[in-house]
Amino acid sequence: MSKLCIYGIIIQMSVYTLAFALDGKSQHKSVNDIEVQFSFEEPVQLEKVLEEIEGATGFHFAYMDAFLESSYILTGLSQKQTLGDLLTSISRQTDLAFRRRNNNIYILKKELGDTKAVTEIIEQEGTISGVVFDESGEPLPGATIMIKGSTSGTVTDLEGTFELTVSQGDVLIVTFVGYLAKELTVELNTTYTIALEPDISSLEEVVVVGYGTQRKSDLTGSVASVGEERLNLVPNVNFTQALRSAVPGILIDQNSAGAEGGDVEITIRGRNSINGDNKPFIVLDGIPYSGDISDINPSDIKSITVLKDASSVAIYGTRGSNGVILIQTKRGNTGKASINYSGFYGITEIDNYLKPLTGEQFASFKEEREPGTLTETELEVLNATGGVDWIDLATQTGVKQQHTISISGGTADTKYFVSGTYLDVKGIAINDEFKRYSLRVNLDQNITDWLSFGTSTQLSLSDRSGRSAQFSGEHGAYTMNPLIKAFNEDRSYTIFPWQEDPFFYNPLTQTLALDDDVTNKVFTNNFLDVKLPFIPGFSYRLNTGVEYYSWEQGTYFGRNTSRGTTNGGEADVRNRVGENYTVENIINYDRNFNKHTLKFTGLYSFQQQKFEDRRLQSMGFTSDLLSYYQASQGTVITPSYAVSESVILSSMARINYGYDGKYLLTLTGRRDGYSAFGENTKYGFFPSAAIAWNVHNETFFVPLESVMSSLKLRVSYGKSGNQAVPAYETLSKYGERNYVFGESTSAGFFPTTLGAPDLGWETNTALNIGVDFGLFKDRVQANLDFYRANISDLLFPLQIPSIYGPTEITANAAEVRNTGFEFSVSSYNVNKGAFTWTTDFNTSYNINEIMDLPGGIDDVSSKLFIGRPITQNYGLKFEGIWQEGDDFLSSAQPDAYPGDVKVADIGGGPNGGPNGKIDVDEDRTFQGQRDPKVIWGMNNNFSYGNFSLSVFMHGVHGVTRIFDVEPNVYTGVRRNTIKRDYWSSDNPSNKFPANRISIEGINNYPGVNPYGVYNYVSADFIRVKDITLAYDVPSSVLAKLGLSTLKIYVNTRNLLTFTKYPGLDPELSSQDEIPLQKEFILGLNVGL
Amino acid sequence: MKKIIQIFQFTALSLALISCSDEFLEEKPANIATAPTLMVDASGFEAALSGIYAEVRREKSGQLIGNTDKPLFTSMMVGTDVIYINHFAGDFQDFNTYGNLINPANDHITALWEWLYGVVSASNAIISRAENSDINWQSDDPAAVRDRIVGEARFFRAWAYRHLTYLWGDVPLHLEESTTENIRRDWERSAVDDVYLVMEEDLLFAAEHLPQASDMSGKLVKGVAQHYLAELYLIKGQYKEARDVAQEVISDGPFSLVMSRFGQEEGQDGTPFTDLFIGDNPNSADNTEAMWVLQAGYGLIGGEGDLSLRRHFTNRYHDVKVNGSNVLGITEERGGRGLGRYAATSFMLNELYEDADDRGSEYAWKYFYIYQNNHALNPDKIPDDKTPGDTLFLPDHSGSETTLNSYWPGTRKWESAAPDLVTNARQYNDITYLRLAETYLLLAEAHFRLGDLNEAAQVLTELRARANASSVSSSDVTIDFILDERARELFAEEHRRYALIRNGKFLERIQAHNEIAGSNVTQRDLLLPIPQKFIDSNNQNQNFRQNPDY
Repeated sequence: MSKLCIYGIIIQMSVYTLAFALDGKSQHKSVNDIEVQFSFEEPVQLEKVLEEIEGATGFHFAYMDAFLESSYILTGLSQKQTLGDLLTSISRQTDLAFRRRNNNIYILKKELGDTKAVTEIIEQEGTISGVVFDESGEPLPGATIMIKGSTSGTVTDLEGTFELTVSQGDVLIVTFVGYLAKELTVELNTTYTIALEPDISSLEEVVVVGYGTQRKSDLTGSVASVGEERLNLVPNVNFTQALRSAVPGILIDQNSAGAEGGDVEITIRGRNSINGDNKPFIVLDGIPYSGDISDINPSDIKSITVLKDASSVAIYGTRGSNGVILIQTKRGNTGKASINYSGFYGITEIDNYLKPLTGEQFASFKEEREPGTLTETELEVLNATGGVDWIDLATQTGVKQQHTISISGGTADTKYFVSGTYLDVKGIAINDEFKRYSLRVNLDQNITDWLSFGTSTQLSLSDRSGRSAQFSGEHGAYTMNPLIKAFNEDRSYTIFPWQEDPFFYNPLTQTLALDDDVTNKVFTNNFLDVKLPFIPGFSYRLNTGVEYYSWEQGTYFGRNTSRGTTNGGEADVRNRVGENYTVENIINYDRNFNKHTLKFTGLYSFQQQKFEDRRLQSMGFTSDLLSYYQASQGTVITPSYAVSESVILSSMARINYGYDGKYLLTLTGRRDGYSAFGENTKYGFFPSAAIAWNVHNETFFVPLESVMSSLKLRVSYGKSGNQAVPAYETLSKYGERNYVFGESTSAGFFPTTLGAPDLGWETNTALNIGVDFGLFKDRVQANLDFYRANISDLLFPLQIPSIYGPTEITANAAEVRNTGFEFSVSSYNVNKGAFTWTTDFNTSYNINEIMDLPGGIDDVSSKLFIGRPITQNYGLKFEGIWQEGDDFLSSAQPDAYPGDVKVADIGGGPNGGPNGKIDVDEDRTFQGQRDPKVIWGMNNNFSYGNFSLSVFMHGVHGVTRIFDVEPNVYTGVRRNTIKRDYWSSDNPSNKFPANRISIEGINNYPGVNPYGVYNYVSADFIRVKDITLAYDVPSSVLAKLGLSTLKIYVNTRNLLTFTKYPGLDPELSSQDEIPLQKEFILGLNVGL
Repeated sequence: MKKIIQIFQFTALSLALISCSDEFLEEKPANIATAPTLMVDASGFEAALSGIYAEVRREKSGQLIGNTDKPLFTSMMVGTDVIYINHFAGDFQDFNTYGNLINPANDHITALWEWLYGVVSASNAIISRAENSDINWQSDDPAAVRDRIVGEARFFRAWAYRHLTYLWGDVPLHLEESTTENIRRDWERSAVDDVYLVMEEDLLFAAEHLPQASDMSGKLVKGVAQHYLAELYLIKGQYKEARDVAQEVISDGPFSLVMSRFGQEEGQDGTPFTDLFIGDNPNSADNTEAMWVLQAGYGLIGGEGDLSLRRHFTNRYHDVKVNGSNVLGITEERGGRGLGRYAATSFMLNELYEDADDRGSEYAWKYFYIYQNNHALNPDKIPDDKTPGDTLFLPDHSGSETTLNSYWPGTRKWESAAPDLVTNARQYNDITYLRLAETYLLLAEAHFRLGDLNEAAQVLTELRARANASSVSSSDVTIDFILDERARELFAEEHRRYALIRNGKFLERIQAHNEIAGSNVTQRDLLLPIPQKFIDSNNQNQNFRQNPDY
């Protein structure tokens, strides 16, 4: 079943309730043969009489309300008579006439000259049955069969068959979304075989683009969408999890795998900026979204569209350079209200992590490295319990659940979608929790035929209360000594787990801190649409957005925590309030003139972003009694405030022109004024142009159609910007530098920044060449894009002679280039009987290259090199381990000993070759990059009958990350490390040096790794990200249950990973954070 | 088509409207101070001065703000005849090794340069903005307020150039307020004599307009300016002027040597000399000797200075092992958490003090520790054969200084601990930056240079008497004796490098007395390298001169 066919069924299901088979009592007698007996208390109202007749006979009266406006009062009806006589009698007392057709009696106004009060047509009724097929002979479930001119009809079942009671001569209309409607006149008691032809024009997907929508065939730029399946059938906590590897060119780098999963970095088509932001611009329901990605409820999302090329993003001006993510939420449809529940519940388990040494391993490691340094506590713990597994204590089995109830529906004039969602995640790190409550109200209301109003509003409460145990850093669980005490005798956490060394804190005690952390947020977009009747095709939209959030945090570290103990209680109360306003005036003009289509969009908008941050940190309390509410009673109180406000004024115009569906042209221009730019550079202008050619609409293409069903070529070129400059960045500033005289504080200020009046945006000039094609009647659909983006004017700190106080000013001074390919394909592999198999695959390849740096010279200290990627790894090269018998004296490291790290001698020689010694400047070399070169994602979907199985895999290639060859355990082996295959004379390892810090008899031994060399290793991986098995309960069962849909699914995430990476997890960019987890989820979708 | 034209006209109108809305795009930050918004009245100027006081305090802090390591004072005193790097952190042992580690890219040297020029720039802004006629000086005598404020700023500028000239010799002379518009990239080095002239004028102005005393602890007073003026005259060879100014500070100023016990440990065992460094004593009214005290305070806004003298100079006693175990807990009585990064050379510790000299006593140096069991958080691991109250003597230290030696006695001048957190990296007590004893030593130096050895001996004897050290006669007075006396009195206080350089003794004495750095230091090291970062960014002067041999 093709993707479109699935859409068809979904849409079909949602309108199903409109059509229902009439199941009245059949009346085959003439009205003159039906006797009725009423006893009314006369006089009686007409409506009352009609009601009685309907009840007694099964006839149904149909009339326009206006006909009965004047209250008709009737008399003389209380006698036994035929229905015909009764109706004639009514007709005589009113100006009404009756026309019977089968079971319906239509009430009409008597017209002059009408003599007959009652006319009658009685048709013969019977049943017909049939089956509906698609063009390839496959049955079409969910096709609608309606009797023309009535509300009677039915829907085909899963085998495509139907049965319907009809009258002789009725006309049936068979429809299915995406297919041409078919009409046929029925003969009773016949079985029909109906074949529908696809309607090519309506199969068009409509794609959301900036400030509007476009038919996919009209697109000229590079735009990718994530459909509802990927969004709905995987249990995501935030939308980036659905986006990951679902469309080509997006890299989602995750930092920590905490409960919220929101610690991600998204880059589209490579890294565009060195010092500025690489984040794409997110637009939610048409309004710029600046908040946390975790605050958007993913189950409300209908579609996500990613704009990538210059033509698509240029209309977002200074904010388009890093790509744009457009998120549309679900809206109501005309029809009966439907109520849906969707939910999932699952558990999460710790996946792979770097296992630190166990107590015993640590003891022997320590004994070997620094003999005799085991302290009393360590020996005691070793003998008593064998050691503490800090990671085990800091983690648990996580639980994740989400429940959504949504109601949607509408009439011709009012459509609504209302949903409420509760999400509750308990992470695998103890006390790492994330809860979100969200309520969405989306409404579309026609006020008059030229004015309509709509809203998309989300209220959310995100609760991040609670502190997880500490994983990273010198007090983190990964490196905490396993031979010290986690618990006191009463099972409470120790504060200082190592009596001999008060420097070390217990990483678990911070879970005992009182921590309230709640964000309330309103994100509302309200719009008015005005159609101006005096210019056809012209409309105006007033679009307003308000984003308001309040983040409130109160934390108290009492004396049961390490921090609290050392500081006498520590309170931190923080409140950040943000208010963003957007007002957009959008005019649209959309008309066709013969073969010309013209669409114009104009925008004038104002946006203001503002936040205030207020914080009070306090410590040194007499008791813990009043937690953070006693902030004012601390001995050290540090208040701090921050405020930021920025304004963007924009105007934009876009013209879409098409000729005959073959030649398409898009021109856009946007002018943005941004308050934070330097005073000489407030405004930027961003033009773009794109053309496309629908080759398949040319007559010469017809012979090719049997193989290649569609072909489109696209080229776009244009500019966009990266706003990059934070508010107040371009001003000369004095920073706070306070002092005390005696005991009294004296506010102090010191020059910290020199102004940058010429500082502006980073400019992205990009070319995109794309081809879209379909093969075998679009059974295979593919896109291929090539792009090259030059990002110039990159913000870069420019050194000034360091005698002016501040030593640098920010300037637009560097250039980067991204060049790459993207390919995606959707294929409909098998469609045999009940079994279907489809595959969606996408991949992208990107080369990131620094083109210019200030002064045209490499910035070695920041590891930035012209001609190299931004995330270049650069350092001395690990070349293995010196072995016994090696020729040290003639090597570059004559002072090395067997077991030391061997460093590659690369440069410094006369011809640029080795010079026989190791020195940092000459021998550092390039060792891979941290951003991947290739990313890919593949989804395979199999369905058989009511079962479907989808398997999503993704892979990342061309990443190199740092890996320590030597443990960083401090002197005296005070920290734990992972197990390494250390060199020894019995074990001539070539991977890790000897475990030692000194050699007997050698003075000033500099250690096994005197040059501090790291190993750079590949972090490529392939991961089976999601496997989802779903079962749709068949409609026969649903009917008994009184449900319209019922789907049960199980999902498992991160089940399998293939990688050679020795670190924590190749998907995480940080190496000592909460590890990635495996998830096992059970989900349920129910529709009433 | 006509309608389309109308639409374009409408759009064009919208675009035009935007041009009229520039005021929307003007930034009016509510929370950011700038030079023109700050320096409009006397209190704004005071705030700009306080910023400089805080910045100057960073001399006793880490290289970076918010950091305690690689303190900025390092180059001024470490790697000399009296101080070496004991517990070096990572590769930070530049002043043990000299050689390659002291190079133009050295980040510590770069930070030091930038910090000093930061003070120059901030001072310049005050000096030039004070000339604006519309400043509200908030006083009946606006000229006096203005001159005092400008006097402080000019003092700080001279203070910064003093460091710059001692450390680098000829340096660019920057005397204007820094703005984006006046950035130049063709700086030359000004001869030290030209810089001295500016310093002299600045110090003379400051000495004229600063008050004799201030009721605000830590504020600059006249004597401080005079002291550095005297030192400047010594550098310039104007010994008479040096003598006269130094004499004036001693005779006519409000300061005098502290001769008897005072302050918070007055009732306990101790000496008048060591009282100078204890707790709150630097700011005490009884402390008549302190001329300029760097202010700090735990829990006070502006009191957090990231001070790290204690961290660097107090011995790493928590690493002292008995039978393989660390026995000593970190406590306030022992002086807080010391890392022993810097320490006295063996020459300093073993050769300079006579037995009776208070400055070499157990109150000034930590030679032993007492076992105790009264500290809840960091209890001692008392060996089985000892009981609380028993003494743990550090082993014999008469041999050479060695690195990573936790058994090497440290000075007690900077012992301190934050009240709530004994392991805190920072210290929060006030630090005496300049005291009259140093003026005595300048005066002795001036007398010596003038050939007045009797007077010199008399001044030295007066100073030594306070510490119970023997009196000296004119025949004892040599420049080495004066330098020894400076070390005895001012160990870990004075800018030792400068005293050595001023008297032409830098190489000789380091080679003679520092057993680690002595063989590494060379003629080149008389000056630090100009930071490469400056040279690179000053790219319109291709002939900018680096110091020799870098």
